[in-house]
Amino acid sequence: MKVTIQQTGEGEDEIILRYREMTPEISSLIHLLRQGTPVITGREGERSYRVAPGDIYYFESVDERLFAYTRTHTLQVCMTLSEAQERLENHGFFRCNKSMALNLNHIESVKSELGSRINAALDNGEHVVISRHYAKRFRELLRGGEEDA
Amino acid sequence: MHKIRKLMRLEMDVELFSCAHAIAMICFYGIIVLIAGEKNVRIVALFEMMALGYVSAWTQKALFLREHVYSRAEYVICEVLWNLMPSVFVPAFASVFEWFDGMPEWAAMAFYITMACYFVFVWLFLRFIHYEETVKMNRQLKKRRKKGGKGDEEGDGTVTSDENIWERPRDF
Repeated sequence: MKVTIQQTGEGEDEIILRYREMTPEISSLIHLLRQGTPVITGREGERSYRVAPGDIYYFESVDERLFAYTRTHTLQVCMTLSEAQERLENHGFFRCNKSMALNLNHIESVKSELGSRINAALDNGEHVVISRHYAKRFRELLRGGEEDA
Repeated sequence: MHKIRKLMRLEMDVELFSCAHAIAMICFYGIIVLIAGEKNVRIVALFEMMALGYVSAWTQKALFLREHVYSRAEYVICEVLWNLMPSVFVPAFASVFEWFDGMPEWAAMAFYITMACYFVFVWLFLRFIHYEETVKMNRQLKKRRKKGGKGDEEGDGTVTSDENIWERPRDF
């Protein structure tokens, strides 16, 4: 598929999609464009915040409450870990162990360890374990096989 | 069901290592016993070695069972124990079950040293496998980042506050 990106000086931002035949690929592209970039809302103390998924390092479930960790904030989010992972799968989130969903885009480096675990170093200096159970999916994601369940 | 599946996978892993340990033990034992001039081996001793292989494999697995980030020191201690504990179990089992009864002392010593070397060798082999995998995954990660995976939908890094948003928390 040919992709043309054009910058114009005036007028509204516009995306025109030209196709000969509607294919699943184009259909999912339209779906993605219509969805737009989701915004996660969360709470820290008395205040509520909006945050782009790309700014979230990981979600962690603690005592049946879900927290989103950004560089500077820890926000309590009103959804379950599975919901967060499902909704933000296209934004690089994947389940890394039974209580966490990690943003693949914030992984700086990884280290395979004994016990079939993977130690992921994030770009904020934190380390997260990708457990053996979810390591397979992580490897698939790295290979680019997102379509494999 | 999930727990049973997890346990079964764990057990399969352990049994694989258990078989490798038992086969190595029986082989080395057989060779050393032959060199020592013995012609017969007690069949019960072979079963005892299989049991030791299983105990060793479970011990090694248990050291890396926890799902948390091991500190550098913790990881090194676990690795040392991974090698040391089975190497201690071997002479313990050998003396309790009298594997070298009536044989020269060097035979037992040779067996203990060979088994200790075997565990170190297995550990080195696993380290090599993990190192290879680490390099491969980091290469894939780098490739993915170059392709534009990183930061595509990232915001400007700021978290914006809005007092009313909490009222519709599920609104994406």
